[in-house]
Amino acid sequence: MLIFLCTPGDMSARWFVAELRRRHGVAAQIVTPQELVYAPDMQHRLDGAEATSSVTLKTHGTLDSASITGLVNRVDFLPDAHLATVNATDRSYMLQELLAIWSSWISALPCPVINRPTATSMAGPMYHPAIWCHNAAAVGLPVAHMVYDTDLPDPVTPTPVQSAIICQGQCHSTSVPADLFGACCDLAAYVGLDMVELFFGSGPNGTVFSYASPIPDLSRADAGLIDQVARVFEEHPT
Amino acid sequence: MIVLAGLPDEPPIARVASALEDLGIAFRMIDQRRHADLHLSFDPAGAQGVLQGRLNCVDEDDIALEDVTGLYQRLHADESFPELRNLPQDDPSRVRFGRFVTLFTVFSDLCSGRVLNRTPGMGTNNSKPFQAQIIARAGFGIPRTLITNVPDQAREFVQDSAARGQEVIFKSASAVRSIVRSVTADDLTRLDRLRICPVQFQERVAGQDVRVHVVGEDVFATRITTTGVDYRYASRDEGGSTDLEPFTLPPDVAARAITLSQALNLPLAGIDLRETPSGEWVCFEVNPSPAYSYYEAHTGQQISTAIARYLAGS
Repeated sequence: MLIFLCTPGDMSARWFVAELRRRHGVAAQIVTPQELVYAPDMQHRLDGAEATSSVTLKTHGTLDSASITGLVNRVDFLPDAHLATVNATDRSYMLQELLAIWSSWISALPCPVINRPTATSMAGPMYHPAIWCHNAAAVGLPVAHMVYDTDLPDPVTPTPVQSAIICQGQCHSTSVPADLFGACCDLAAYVGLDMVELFFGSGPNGTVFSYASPIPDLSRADAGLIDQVARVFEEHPT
Repeated sequence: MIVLAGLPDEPPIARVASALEDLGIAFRMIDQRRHADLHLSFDPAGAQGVLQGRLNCVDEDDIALEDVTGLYQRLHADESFPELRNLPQDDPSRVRFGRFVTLFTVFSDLCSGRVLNRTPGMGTNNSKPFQAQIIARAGFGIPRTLITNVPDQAREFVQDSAARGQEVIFKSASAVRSIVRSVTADDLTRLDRLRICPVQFQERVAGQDVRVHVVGEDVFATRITTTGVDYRYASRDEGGSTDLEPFTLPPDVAARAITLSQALNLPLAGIDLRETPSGEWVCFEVNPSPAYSYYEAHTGQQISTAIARYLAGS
């Protein structure tokens, strides 16, 4: 089973899943973090070099390391409504536990995972805006002059007017200048994200990097991105 | 320029400062207690992607960030400072303290010199099962582990382990420090509590504890003999005792320890190992900000000198 792990309100993921089915017959399923965290039966086992994950969902039955054939991860937080009656200290502890456990659970899946979590972030590597800016400049993208200072508010990033979605070495955009595609791909690879949306604003000398999101707005996906994601998972059929 | 940042009298920092002085290597100390006097400013993309900026403390010379070639940081949270901990979260002093720590962390991640340690490596300890997967790939054994929210699964794991003569312990999966405890008969009556949050259970591994500190490619192993389940707390909570002594690792295990520290992006790492009676080396976790001074003080191993040399690029 191919899974899109996303929030219940992630309409762009739902559209993308529908397009995958319509164009390529790829039957991906939406699973929400609520379904994972509130599942009555989850297991994560580590035994030597073998790590296995399983969870039983009301909607999809039991999913495990064998039945999940691919996962597109679009989650940057875990729900905590079930902890509403827990005191603040225990709630904070449990949230950290849940993040630690589910990030490992997803990371252990042997199938292709687009944006595998890290130990600190469900959505994959996360960076301070200054680090994004530094890395963007390092790969050759145009970057606006910015100063971070302990006694000043953080600089405002350029208002985004263009974006590109980069997926595993391919850049998809109808607005960003094509001569920046290579550097966009270099940036995604450097930061370790399989899929990322890079936003650009207008500077005095043209396009400048603004910020990045590991959860792209898939409603902006072109046919090429849909084809590419379909190919990734068609190579690992159910 | 070598920079140490944190509390100058905290043993891990103080010992590296002494080692640098003994080696005649110049360094600057960023005293976090003077947080109100500290100032940091930078352009992250200053010159073709090279961080440029200034770090300074009132009445001291500026440090050009691009000149920092070695950085050892042990920054503390605002709760550690009496003058801040009782202030509202939005008090300007507390907000400024947080901004300094955040920006200093960004600087450490972008610094082109040797840094002990950077954020991506430090973060792996936030999920012990996540880190355990990396440990296993580096060639160490890991304890048989079950994380579950199903009481029957936990009970079965405990019973299965007992049938094989193994105790089961439980511990936090996140970086929140927990005291390792054995699962008792009483605990088995409370397993319904798993429903709200899964718990990590591990088969207890019998054997001899060895704490390994990796500094670059230097390895210091300390053998620990304790009467407790968790040697860190044996003498405090259990009326027991803990003895530390220098130990020589088999060369292949030492090489694996270096490989693991590199896989975790931790040039300074505190690796908790246990050698089983059958000669297997099991790794429990890797501490990304090890209080190596405790081991150095008990054994005389020159870990601080190795850190000083690493920072100096030698």
